[in-house]
Amino acid sequence: MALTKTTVNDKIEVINQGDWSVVQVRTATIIAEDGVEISRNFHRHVVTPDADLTAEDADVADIAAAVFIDAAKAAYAAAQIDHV
Amino acid sequence: MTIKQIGGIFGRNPAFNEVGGTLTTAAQPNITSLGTQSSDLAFASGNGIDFSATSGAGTSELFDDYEEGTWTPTLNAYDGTPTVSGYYVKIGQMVYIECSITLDGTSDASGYIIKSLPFSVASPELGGGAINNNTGGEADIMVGYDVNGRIRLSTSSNGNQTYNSIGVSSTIKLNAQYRAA
Repeated sequence: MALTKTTVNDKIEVINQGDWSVVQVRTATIIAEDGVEISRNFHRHVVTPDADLTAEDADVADIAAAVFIDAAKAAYAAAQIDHV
Repeated sequence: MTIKQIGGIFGRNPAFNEVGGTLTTAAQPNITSLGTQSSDLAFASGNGIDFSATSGAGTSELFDDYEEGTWTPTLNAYDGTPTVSGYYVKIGQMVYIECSITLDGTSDASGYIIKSLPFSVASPELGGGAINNNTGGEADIMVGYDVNGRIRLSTSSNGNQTYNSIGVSSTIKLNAQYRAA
């Protein structure tokens, strides 16, 4: 009986927010016994245009880099306010 | 809509005796009961349970999503390193979140704003929530969303609550809900 644990970004979605888009990521942690999946848990996070992409997995970083064009970064930065 | 099942449940209906794999609504089966199944119903992306036979119309009556998991709250412009944990459940478009955030003693007068929600927030950002516990002692805390889809803690007069005003070493426990974009 061999238990294995793998993680995979099984959903990477680009969500349009108007002047910019964010990248919504679901990471699945999969536990398998002799190759048969016995559990799957999800962790989510959203990558915004101001994010440090070096902290992201390559598949997420590649998509985010394509989405976060300079105009999107500028619009997002301008919108970062502390008040409603 | 596709209903996956592994044989047997329609054993008394000769129309489905030989199915053993996939049923589709194209056949318009009159399903009165699925009984107790040992496997799951699975829907292709964008499909789910359609309630359009009731009043109303369109995709607003399609129940097409359920998910539960964890998320990692981050704090906007916070100079310290907080200890955080978070959980979410998404039912249809609604996202229900809860989290615990402990500040590390760093003094910071920035507005208390929580980012990195599990799903992007739909506009207009009208959701809200509540603080269930705050070891810092501050009681006048409103929980809402700002225009950037982040959770903002404010006073009842809409002033900023800051990391300092909540308590530099405080632990808050929070639950909130919102519509996903």
